[in-house]
Amino acid sequence: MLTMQFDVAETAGNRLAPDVMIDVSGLSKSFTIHAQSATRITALRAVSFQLRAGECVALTGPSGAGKSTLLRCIYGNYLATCGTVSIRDQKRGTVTVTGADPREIIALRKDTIGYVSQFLRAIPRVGAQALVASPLVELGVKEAVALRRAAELLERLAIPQKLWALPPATFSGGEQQRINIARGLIADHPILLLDEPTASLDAANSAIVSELILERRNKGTAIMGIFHDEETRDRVATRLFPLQAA
Amino acid sequence: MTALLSGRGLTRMFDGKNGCAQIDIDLHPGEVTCIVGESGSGKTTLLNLLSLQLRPDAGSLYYRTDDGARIDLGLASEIDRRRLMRTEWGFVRQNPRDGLLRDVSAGANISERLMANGARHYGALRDTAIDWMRKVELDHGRVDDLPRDFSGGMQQRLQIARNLVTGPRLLFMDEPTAGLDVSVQARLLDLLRTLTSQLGIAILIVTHDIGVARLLAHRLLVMRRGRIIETGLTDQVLDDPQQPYTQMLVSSVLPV
Repeated sequence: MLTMQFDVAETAGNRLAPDVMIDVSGLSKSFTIHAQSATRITALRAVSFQLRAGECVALTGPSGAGKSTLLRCIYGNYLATCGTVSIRDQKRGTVTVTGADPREIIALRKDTIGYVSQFLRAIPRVGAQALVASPLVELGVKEAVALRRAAELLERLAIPQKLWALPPATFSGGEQQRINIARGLIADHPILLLDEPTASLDAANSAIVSELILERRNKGTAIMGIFHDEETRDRVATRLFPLQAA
Repeated sequence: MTALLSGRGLTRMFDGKNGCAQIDIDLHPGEVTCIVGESGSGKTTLLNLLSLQLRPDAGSLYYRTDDGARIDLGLASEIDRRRLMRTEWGFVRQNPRDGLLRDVSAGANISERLMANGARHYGALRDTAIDWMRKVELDHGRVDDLPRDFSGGMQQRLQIARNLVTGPRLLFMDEPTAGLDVSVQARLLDLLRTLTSQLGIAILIVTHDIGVARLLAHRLLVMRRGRIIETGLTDQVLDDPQQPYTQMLVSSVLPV
């Protein structure tokens, strides 16, 4: 009886409100650089917010305000110094990223969080189309289906078809960024983290990317991003979340 | 826990200094774990303890069998330990010469473990060998060639085929890409990446190459002076290293 009450109380404390996809509470991050006599740099100080389904929140603030750091803490790529990050996951309920085992974070990335970083990490010998398709293949989608979906995205992002079979390591910056976007979007994750997705794109390509982001938002994806390009930001964001240098 | 192999408090010292001490480690199915660290950090000692090639001075090693039972490998008979190493485990050595039989053909090298487990049908063994040569991208027309007639990178792929043929649940690899040309390395890494995601087996790789770890590993263990000093999700350890030594290790990698 006692145990049951305890379980119920604990679950209730952890549960997110129905449409909340990300809950960040009191998040701080500092880096200790040991090579420089343990210099401590504080990037985030006590950040709290919630991100809901269908929202697109744009992180704003000067360079060094911790915008990328915040995205990386949510993605489990950086360790939080204190505070918590909780994510709604379709299969597992609420998952607390801070303090999670690597396997839990891998599962969360597979099923729930898409992340578009500024730079593409190419894999030797893997062509652009296969690289874009791989998050879907990992979800168990048949390879042929995943490749077809990848082709649709590559076409939409105006990547010339003759490049699809080539490993993107030698592509231009803008091409690599569009490959990265296609790879981040293909699995239709309920949460999308975008770190300057249009930084090295021309106006026409930025507009295509904005359109893709808007489509996701309208389908209920919870999106958080850094958009230096104001035009893109105004088109896609539902609200701004300013960060000050910590 | 669902760990396939668990070490607790594993310790083995040589001359009272080199070796490894008080190691706790779990290897999970479908997960690639990389141990990185400099020469003399104890990573090879740990690999040898986990793969039953060394006995620990202290500590325990537990293995979860097919039927879910947990056995203490320190108490297992030599026969049981050998059977495990021959059937459910594989070991890919740094130098393919140490992991291949030099006087028999490529095909016989691949089917040796099957024969040791009682397979006798020559035609079936040969078919399996040819099938595995294809999987590791070797020309199956060369099934009767001796290992020394293959290049270093091809020998390494032959060694991998030889280990995977029994469908192991756990694979140990000691610096599998060391000493290979970069283009050959890329091909081997591509193969390993594909095989590991398809097979769902537990893999432990010892490497000093951070790039290999970043590409293949889910989980990273950093060793120094016989201890695990840092562990976590691979990209987290590499992008946000906490320990002074790990920071030094990561910042020493040449950018491409």
